[in-house]
Amino acid sequence: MRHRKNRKRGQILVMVTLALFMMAGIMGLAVDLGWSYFTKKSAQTAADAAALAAAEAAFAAESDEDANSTYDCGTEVACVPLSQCPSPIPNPPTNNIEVGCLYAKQNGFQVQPGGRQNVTMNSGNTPNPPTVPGVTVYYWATARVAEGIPQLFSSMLGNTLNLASARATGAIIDSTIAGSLILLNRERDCVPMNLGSQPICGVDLLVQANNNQGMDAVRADGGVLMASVLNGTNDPSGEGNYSGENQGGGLVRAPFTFIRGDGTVSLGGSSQWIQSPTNGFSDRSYFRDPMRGKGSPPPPAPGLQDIPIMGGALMGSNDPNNPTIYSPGNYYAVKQVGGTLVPTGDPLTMSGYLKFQADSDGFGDWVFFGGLRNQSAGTVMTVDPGRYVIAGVRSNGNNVTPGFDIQVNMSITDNGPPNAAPAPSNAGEIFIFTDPTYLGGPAGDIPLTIPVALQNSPVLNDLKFGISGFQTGNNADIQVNIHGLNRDSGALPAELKDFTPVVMWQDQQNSVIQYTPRGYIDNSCGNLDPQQGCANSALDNAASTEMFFKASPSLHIYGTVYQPRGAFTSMIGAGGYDSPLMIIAGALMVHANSNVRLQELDSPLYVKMVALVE
Amino acid sequence: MPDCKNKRRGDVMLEFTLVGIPLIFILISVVEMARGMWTYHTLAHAVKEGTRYAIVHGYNCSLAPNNCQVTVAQIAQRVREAGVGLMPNELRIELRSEGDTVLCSTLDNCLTNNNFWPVYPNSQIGQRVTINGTYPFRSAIAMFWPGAGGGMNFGTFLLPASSTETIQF
Repeated sequence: MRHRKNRKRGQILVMVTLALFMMAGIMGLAVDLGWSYFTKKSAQTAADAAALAAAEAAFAAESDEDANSTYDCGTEVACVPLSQCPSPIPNPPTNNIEVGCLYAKQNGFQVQPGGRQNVTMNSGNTPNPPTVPGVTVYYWATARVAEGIPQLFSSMLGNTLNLASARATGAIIDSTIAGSLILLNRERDCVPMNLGSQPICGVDLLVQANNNQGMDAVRADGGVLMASVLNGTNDPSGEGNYSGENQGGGLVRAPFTFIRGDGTVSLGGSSQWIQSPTNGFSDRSYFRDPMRGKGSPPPPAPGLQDIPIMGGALMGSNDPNNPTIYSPGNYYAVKQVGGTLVPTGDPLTMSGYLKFQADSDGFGDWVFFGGLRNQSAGTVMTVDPGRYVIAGVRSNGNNVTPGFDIQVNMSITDNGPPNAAPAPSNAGEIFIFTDPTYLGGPAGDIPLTIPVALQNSPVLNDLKFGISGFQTGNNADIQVNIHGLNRDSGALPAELKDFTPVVMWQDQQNSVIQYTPRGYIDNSCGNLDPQQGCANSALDNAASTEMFFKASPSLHIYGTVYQPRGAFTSMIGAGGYDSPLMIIAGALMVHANSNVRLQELDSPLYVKMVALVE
Repeated sequence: MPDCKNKRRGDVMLEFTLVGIPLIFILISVVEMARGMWTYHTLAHAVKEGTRYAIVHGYNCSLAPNNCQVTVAQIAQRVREAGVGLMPNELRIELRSEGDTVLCSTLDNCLTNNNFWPVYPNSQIGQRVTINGTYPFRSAIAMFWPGAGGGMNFGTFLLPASSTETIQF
């Protein structure tokens, strides 16, 4: 028995030892696995940051020089084969790839001699990144981040090191902008949109129209985006405004309405809003001006012919088949004083049949100083593809006048087909509504060329922002048929490609909010509320911020109508607007019997941006 | 001596009972806790990978010349590949964008779903997508529960994991 008893001694020790081995093993396995996942997640974060930073740096470096850059490989924009990040990383970095390496380091991953971490990058300007088939880009940068993880349990099986790795690719891409109706005004942006009375603050969509002739008051097939956060209780102006106000008993119809923050809509009487708006969105990119960072459409290059027009009369023919031809040029009205032609600053007036005929390359530039209007009913203005700049109009006392006044029955047409946006077979048109101080281009530093005669004339200072758009008046015979810029046309000047399919552009300086030359909201005044922006102290009259489509014309405008934040668009009267059209505006007021249907565009508006594509 | 010897009879059994049962309980508990954490980490990693995959295949993928839209099946496959050791017929996932939800009662069901996801307008850059996953974890600890019954009729815990990210492309 003693022998048997002695044999049992130590059994517990063996059992506990075996159990501890098992416990330690399984715990070690769980820890190994958990740590590997954690490390992989960290590596992915570092790879994302590195790839995005490298692409962002290339984007920033190249955008300083040319918005239409092809991102040629060079000093600042590096195209490198797969290679390790330098150790140490130069600070400041000498190219965009080293910027990416720095970001990886800031996220905990760097190349060190004898270390367990590795960071490699490669980049190029080929249209298809090697690791991301099916994606077309301008420039790409791929980051690979890895770390060897010593194993607790697996090492007993001979696996001493596990590798956690991640890969990401950042790229400069063309991205589309969603929405048929993008309304940019925020809660403190006040514009005189209530038919000229007191300014209204923070109302993005004001509908005072009913449904008519089978049309909804407003129908936006591509959706609605509103940047104001007003919900009736949080209005800083104390007016109790809402982001959207549907007061006319009509229907606002859109597949989606996204509202920033706590913004909501109010419905008066039998008014409806289908689908119900969704709010609660943070301040995302699509609540900001989609044109930010692009600058403004460049003005025509210097060298355009100066064409003084006696009495401002642009005379047309009586034969619709043989209209009077007007070539590209800088047009301005003059009068004769003692044998000298003196600019008057008056609008150029049209009559009869006129054609603005493009150069042989299929695209033309016309600049009209003093505005445009028609003299008599029945005028037909045929426009070839081109850039039409309305460079200021003389105001009438305190009243701002329209830049393009066609209240007397007149038609404007490019003879393009209906329901096509942009122009299907040519470069299309862009109408720029501005004044003689216009600065365009990606950096907003290319001035409009002023004719010498006007430079020396006192009337130049009288030319201010007019109301944008076409002053159509209450005349159902008015026909406007124009198509926006077509990015696929070989005739389109390269510097305008970033602005397709814009058909109408209101100068960003014609806003109650100050814009920077590159098209960002200017907060340099030190306003504590970053959403408010700085007031545009250079603006003469807030009434000029209006873009309008009034009365009952037959408007067929295809493409994107753009005006900046801090402005507003009016649709008033019995007009029915039904076409592929995107409206980017500060705010939109649809009044009286007006109805609007915004169909989706065939070719959407693109913005160049940096994104993770893998 | 016989008396003394007889008095010690049963000592080992008693000691083993007093020490062994708690020891076995602790042993199984530790193993099961580790197994549970292992399963949870794998599940969390799988849904994270699925979400990461979805956010770089947004609306821009559907616009020419790009051609990189992904289907529910492709995302589910990504989750499956990342979820090493998880049984597809027991893993339940939910793909949620800001405007629609696709529910897979089991991952297997979604592996044949060839509908694109997320869909416009919920696929725009800046929109959030979420993948929720649940996976049953049957723990042997449950056999110690009163009334657990015999055999392998153990209790089941549903391990949840969720990942939300913003669409990048």
